[in-house]
Amino acid sequence: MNGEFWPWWWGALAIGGIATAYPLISGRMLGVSSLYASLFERGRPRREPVSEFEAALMAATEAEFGADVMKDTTEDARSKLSRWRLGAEAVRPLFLVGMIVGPALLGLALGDFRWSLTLGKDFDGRYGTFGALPIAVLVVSGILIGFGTRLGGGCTSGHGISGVARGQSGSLVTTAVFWSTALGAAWIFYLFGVR
Amino acid sequence: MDRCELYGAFLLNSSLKTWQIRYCEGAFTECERYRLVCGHQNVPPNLLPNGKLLPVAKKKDE
Repeated sequence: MNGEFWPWWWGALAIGGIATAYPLISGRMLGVSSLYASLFERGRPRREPVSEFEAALMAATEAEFGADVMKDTTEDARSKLSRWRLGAEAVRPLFLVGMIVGPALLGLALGDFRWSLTLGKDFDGRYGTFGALPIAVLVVSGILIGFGTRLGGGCTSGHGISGVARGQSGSLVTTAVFWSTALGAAWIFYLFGVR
Repeated sequence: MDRCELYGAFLLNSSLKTWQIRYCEGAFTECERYRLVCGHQNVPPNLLPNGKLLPVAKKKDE
């Protein structure tokens, strides 16, 4: 396997497998951007009801599920209702660590593993390996990706894999928009000679 | 779920999402709204999944 891409269908099987297994184990649909966002959302204060309808709904929720649920975060409530599951709280760190460790272990097994501080020759050739420019590019890209995924309510995994597989209309539209935008942007850069 | 008026309302805060976990994503056949839809009956906008009625209905801009 040295120097070659791994077969495409390995990725297809892995993505299909995790997209199916993740909801069964955690009780939540898979969405990588949401997983990362959740790392920074703990302890966020609960918002007070803003309308008569919401206040009535909160009262009905307390009557139906008890006062404890009103104090819980979504994940606490979810795990109480689905004790047989590991729960999203437990699966999240496993998943995030697995995204890094999993490919590394596979690379080791196939003899492809190597330490590297670069993002590949294409990125390095355009922005350089070290210095302010590649860092600035990564930071700005990260901010744009984070803003876009929060604005769109999900990313390629949440909408493109989980949402589309469930036939959710919002995910179908979102996926069509971000894929067509990406293709359009790539073609514009290509036509204007930006490689 | 896409057509249920209350489904989106359960996203207003994390406590309300318990309804989604319990009914929409869990025992959806026990949802009174789902039963009415399956029986081709009108679903009152203030009907909760447990069959109880909210004293107020959701306004269109909420």
